[in-house]
Amino acid sequence: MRTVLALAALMLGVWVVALPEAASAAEPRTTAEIVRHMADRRAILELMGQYGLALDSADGEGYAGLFTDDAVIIAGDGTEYRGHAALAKMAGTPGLRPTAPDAPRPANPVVRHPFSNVTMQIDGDRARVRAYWTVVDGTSGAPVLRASGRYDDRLVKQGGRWRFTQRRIINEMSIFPMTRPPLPKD
Amino acid sequence: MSKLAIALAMSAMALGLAVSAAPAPARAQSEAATVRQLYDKELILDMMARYCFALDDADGATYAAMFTQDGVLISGNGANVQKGRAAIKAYVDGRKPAPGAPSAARINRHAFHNAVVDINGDRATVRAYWTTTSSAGGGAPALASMGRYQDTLVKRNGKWLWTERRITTDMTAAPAAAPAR
Repeated sequence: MRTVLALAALMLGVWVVALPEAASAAEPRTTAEIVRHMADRRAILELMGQYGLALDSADGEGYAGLFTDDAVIIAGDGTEYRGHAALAKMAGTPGLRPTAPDAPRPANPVVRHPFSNVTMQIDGDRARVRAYWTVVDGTSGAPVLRASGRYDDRLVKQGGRWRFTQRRIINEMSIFPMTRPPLPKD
Repeated sequence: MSKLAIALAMSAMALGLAVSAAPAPARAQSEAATVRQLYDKELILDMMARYCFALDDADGATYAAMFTQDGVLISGNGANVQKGRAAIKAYVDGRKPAPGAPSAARINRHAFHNAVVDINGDRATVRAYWTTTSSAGGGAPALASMGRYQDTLVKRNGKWLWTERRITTDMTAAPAAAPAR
């Protein structure tokens, strides 16, 4: 009898220890859930990578395709770019991207947008992502850090594909005055 | 030994053989463990990013909560040792600019690179590089310092926490009197 009781206590103990702690609804538990979560993370990281690649090669259509049709970009100066056509035009125009207000647009700007420090909260088909960005300017040859700041993004997965619904770009440091006039929208 | 006992022993052996020879459950277990380990790495990488945000925002509460209660933060090439969450929180809160501080105050942004995460059950070590991009009052950014993280972590109740983070500064634009933190 004592043995049975001891065994029962042991099993109960094991059961209690094995109970998962209370977790947020979004946290994956099963192997299938974890695999899906990591695939989502990887897809979002690559979306962030595609953003810089498209922007830096002035691929306006490719850039706009990373966003939902009703998505908005809130640029560092507060300018909002809304919808596919506005995004494609903004990103597809070389030299329109941040430059000094009184400086001539370089004919062939060489600009790169690397990102770092990505943290994500994925909840089903929605995600919030924060990261740091840097603009490296190589137009004159040697790379120069031109500006740096953070992204605060909202994303949605539609038809199995992650896209931005909103990207807020926060300028934290720049070789140009931070309060420059808004870039033309059209 | 009775015939019954022999029969029981033989069937137990057969059962044991059957269990050990069944490859499917063993492989499923191994895949699940591999997936779990990859997920642990992702959790730690995400945590390293949140750490930088908390540091740069001087958010001591968020920062300290990423350490164990008795966690240790070693910076300034060993000159600066904070033991326990309370000390770590106070240290990071102390980075907040004083009210009315000049707007030309220096801002620092930390990022990590080259992270190598080794998971061993509920323990982990991390080796990585960090950079500080720095600016006076939001002006031109510059790479101000660079160094290494050497970390040990433990998983408690499903959550990774630092038991120790050792921050080594390998190069810095700041004079020795004011080491990059």
